[in-house]
Amino acid sequence: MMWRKRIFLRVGCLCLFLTQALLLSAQKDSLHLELQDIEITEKFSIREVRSASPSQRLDSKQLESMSALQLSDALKHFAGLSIKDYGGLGGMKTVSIRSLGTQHTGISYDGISLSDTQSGQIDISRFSLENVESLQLANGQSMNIFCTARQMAAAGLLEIQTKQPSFEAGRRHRAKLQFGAGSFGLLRPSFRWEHQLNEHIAYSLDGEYLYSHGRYPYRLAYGAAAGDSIAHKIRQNNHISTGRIEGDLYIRPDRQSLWRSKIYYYQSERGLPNATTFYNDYQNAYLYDRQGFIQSNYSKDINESWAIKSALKYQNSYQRYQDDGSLATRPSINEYWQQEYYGSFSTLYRCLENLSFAFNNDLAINHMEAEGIAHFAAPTRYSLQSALAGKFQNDFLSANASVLGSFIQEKTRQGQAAQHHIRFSPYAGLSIKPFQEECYLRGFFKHSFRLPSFNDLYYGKVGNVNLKPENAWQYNLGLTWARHISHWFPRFYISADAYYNRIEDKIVALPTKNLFVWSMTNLGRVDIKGIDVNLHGSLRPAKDYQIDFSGSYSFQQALDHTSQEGASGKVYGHQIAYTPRHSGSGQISLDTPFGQFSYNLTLCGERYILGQNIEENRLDGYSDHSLAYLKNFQWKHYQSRFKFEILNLLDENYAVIKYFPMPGRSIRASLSFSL
Amino acid sequence: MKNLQKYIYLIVCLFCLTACPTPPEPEDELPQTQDRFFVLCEGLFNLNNGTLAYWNQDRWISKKYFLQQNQRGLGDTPNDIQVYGNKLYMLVNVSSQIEVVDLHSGLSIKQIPLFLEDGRARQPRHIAFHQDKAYITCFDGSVARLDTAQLIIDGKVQVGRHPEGIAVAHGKLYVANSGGLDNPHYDNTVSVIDIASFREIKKIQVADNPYKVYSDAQGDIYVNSRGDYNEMDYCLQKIDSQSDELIKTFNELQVLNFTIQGNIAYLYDFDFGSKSSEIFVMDTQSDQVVRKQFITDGTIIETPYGLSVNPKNGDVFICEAYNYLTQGDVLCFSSDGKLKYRLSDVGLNPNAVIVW
Repeated sequence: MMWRKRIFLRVGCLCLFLTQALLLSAQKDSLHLELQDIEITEKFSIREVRSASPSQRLDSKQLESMSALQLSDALKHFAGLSIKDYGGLGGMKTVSIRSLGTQHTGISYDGISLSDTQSGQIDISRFSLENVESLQLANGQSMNIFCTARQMAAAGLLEIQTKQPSFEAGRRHRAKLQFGAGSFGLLRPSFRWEHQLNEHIAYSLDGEYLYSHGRYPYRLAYGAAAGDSIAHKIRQNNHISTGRIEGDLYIRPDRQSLWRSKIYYYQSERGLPNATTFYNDYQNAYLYDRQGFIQSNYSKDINESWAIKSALKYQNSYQRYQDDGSLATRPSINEYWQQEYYGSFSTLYRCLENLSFAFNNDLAINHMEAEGIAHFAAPTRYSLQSALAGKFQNDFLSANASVLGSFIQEKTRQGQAAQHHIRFSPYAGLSIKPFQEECYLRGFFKHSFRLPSFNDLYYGKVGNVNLKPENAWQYNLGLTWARHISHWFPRFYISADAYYNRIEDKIVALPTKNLFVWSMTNLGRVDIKGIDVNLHGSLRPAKDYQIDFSGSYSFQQALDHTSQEGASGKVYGHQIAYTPRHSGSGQISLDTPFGQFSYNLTLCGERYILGQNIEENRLDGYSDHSLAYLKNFQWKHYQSRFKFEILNLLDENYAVIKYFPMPGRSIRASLSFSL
Repeated sequence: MKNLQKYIYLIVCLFCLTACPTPPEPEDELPQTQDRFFVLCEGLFNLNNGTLAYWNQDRWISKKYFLQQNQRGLGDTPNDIQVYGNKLYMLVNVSSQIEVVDLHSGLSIKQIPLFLEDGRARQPRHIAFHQDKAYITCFDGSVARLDTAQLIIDGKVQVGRHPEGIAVAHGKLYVANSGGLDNPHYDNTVSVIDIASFREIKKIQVADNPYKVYSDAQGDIYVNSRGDYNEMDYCLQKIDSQSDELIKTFNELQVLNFTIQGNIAYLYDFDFGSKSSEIFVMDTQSDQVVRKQFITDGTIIETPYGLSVNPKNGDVFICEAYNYLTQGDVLCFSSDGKLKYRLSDVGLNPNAVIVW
């Protein structure tokens, strides 16, 4: 296997380069600095209120009180974000912001965007919340102009920040061990180790293992009417076994610069359950995943006016799909390899106290190989993205604007390659404070696009190399209001946004070649209008008691406006599939001296499973309630924590995707010790 | 505070104005007919939404007749439907069941599962009848024999890979071995099975990926092949059922799907790219195309998905599937190619009409 050798060499080079750079920077004289200063914490509520684009955030405290094990559990609390969840811990989960589609959602992990050029969408089921410090969702673009160009390229960005080392006074290391268990065979041990070597260097190691047999009961209805047959069944072939290990190295040569490097490895083996087919329970398909990456960010404040930031990343992913139940005479195995080489360099220039400009440049090379697919193109994509951005901010006004240029070139080992693309995408956002009140009016406009994925372009006969990028236009108007009301009501925040999004040249699958081979075409237009409302606040009714609450509501009207002719005419003006008009969430937690009690709720209105909004395609709405109890205590000299959760309290038998049932009532518990 | 409320109110109002749900479209006027038939709709894979619709003269008894009568759905992807005696036989491919239904009541008499010993579904595909036995092609590479009186499977014979169509002539079964699940390594044979001994006696080589098999009134066998699903690959071939030899290849005809009633074959070609279809008529005695355009009144079919002939009056039913994601229609044409009536929104992917 030639390519394996090549990867090895390139990884080697990258490592060499990184260590040299580290040594160089470490040689510099530097100011003494405690590592806990590394994280520049900003009072988030201020940023959230002032942002020109809607921005929502969950920090580790909120995440802990949330009955959330996986990333997807937490994301259900963001307004305007919908998750496709195929059920169970191993079921695929993808996110879409404001009906724009999964491929328009950017996800970054510690400042560097994740990518999957094969499908264009990232399965978030592999992210746990174990080591997550905060989640932040920005519609459009965040106020931070000093970022990578790729972070500016997506229609919306979900930023995952992992925990950073922090030490109690006088200590130089910290260890944490945790063990979790729950219904359906859930076992989850995890550990974390943080160590400060000297004033300049600290590192952390973080790992977890998760297993679940996933055999949960569900009810299968053989008809929609009241008297129709129902069977009580157990979900089969739904096991998952995953492991993740992550190492972080922090180097702070001086007060003005920070070097953060990460090595990440993830592996999973899971059953891939079918839809719950009537009268046929046989399941025998599996999915194996391996993904590793190494990334490094370096940032430096050169002087009062200038700052630079750079990042490098290499990622290697492998996926194997195996269907042992297939009646094909040849073994039904598909294997995919993906590699990414990525570099980013950004410059920030503060020309006035309130005015700054950034120039962000990214270069990425993505390559894919496949086994089990005849005449696979083995494509390579070269993308160069540059963004010029400006920001002005004073007490009454924040404005930012950017223009992103994207230059995409592809080549293939065999067959025709996709055409090259040059695109310019503007963004502008404005937030003003018309009164003395902490109340802001905001608005933004953004154009973005998503490239056709390698599957869209090259997957056997499905692929179509003539595809154009899919365009998204977003317009948003909203207001935010935050206030300290009284001593016992210290914090209240509310935001309401109305938006209009348009998707053009939507990439859809249609049987253009023949019935069995649907291929991708740029046909489709969707007009989306919606409202997102978010609120959160805190109450302090008595000493040692605190109530935190939050809620979100979304209204979405996402109408298919492709064509009034022929088959498209039958769905013209209909709500697109799997998009609820109404959805919402709520959370309330009560901190007491006896522990923290919290209640979580997610609500989703009815949806249609296909484009035609008729009774046959209707899928009922659902509500999911959960309770959690969290208690911190001292055991010997260990900081200990106990958590107990009851999920889907009402044992509602619902599905996000039809015939992929979600688990009913279940429990989870975990115990952790830190030193 | 006042201002804030005003803004929220304004925004909410603005959106409510544009957010009204689309009103349901009015039902089409239903035609007056003399026909009584079932329509089998495949639904979509993984959605368990195969349906059986039942039309009687001037109204739908139900578009979900099976569900209504049996309080349970038909299952995932029913592929074939036939009437034999007083029973209706349906093959549900993904659910891997034979559903035997009483023709008069619509009640299920028996649901017969088809699974291999290791638990894998055999996936029944097409059915043919001969002397109180039903013969069912299954994607596991076999033909199952069902006793229609006792409703039990009493035999199995191995054929080629992923058999599709099946026809009876001169005491023999002709089975098209498609190899479709091994795409692009298709099978290219027709198995000949002696019914008396229930053994495969011959494999006749035909074009790649054979699909449907029918016999005409003389007992000649016609088989169409779909190659690698490129339009130019479709073809039609003829087998002599006395000698079991391939005797003719119709090179000039691109046949995606067809059916034979007596000595008349209705065939169609469909170009998925341009969405143009040609439905033509062939006389199987002369093997000549007698009409290049079956439809004479300009009716447009977007995506033909099934073709059936009413044996009572020679009317031709054509199933319209549109883009496979929206409810399809059934169109009834007189034998001279004029539209008699259209029944809209029958179900998802209607593939066969059975008159009784």
